[in-house]
Amino acid sequence: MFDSWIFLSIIFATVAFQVVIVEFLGTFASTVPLNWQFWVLSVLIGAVSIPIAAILKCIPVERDNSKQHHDGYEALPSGPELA
Amino acid sequence: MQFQLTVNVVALVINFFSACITGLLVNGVYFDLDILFLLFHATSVIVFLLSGSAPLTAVQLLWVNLIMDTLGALALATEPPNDGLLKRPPVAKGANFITKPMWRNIIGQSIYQLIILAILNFDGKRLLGISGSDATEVLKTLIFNTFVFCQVLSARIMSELLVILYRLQNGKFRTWMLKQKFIIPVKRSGMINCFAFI
Repeated sequence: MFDSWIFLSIIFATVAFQVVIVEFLGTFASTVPLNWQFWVLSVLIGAVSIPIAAILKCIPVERDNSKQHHDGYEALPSGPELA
Repeated sequence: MQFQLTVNVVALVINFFSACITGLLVNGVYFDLDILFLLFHATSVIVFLLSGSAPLTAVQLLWVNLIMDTLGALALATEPPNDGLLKRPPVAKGANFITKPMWRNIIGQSIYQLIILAILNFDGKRLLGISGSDATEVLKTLIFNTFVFCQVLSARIMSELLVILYRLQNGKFRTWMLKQKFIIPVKRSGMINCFAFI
């Protein structure tokens, strides 16, 4: 799961830049440094979107299975649709 | 001489067909990843459009936009093609680009983020007990920070799931491609595999 190192490094770079922007680039990005409670709060609120994504995937939606292909083609795989 | 020529022509034809298949695969995987790119982007754009009063400044908005673009472009770059693509029917001209499950995910995440933003924006000072001369700035910074982490973490889980799905489908095909020398054996990186595809 964690072997896509490009993905992980970009996530880490994004978070690092976010810290720099909030803490040090106040005049440029009109931010003020936050205390650690607010940092934890914002990360927690963000993390709630992970279980929400999992719950959303449990909501059934109808898939378009009406088109039958006469020559034995397979239907579209569900990879990107599930993502 | 005659024999040599025949061998050459046969080699050429074989090369041509394998190149065609490779091209088809790359096209197919790009189509998938375009959809994924859109999925990442649509969530953030919808939240921005609906939030109306623009709690974020222009620079912050640009930064969030940059994050979303990076994540989408990353999805474009890191997924290897799979052999299921060859069994697909062509996509119809009028087919929906965003499928119903994608709308479900986008709308769900948007609703959550909008609720959080609305609560913080309108009642944040009282709920969190922010006071002092720079209360408004602290609150705005908190909203910005929360929004960024919502984007990063929800995108994270989406991509990880997609990577797992592709890996599951991909085992046999990768060994075949390696045997045919279509790709070079690189351990981890999907991106390098895509670029070695010529």
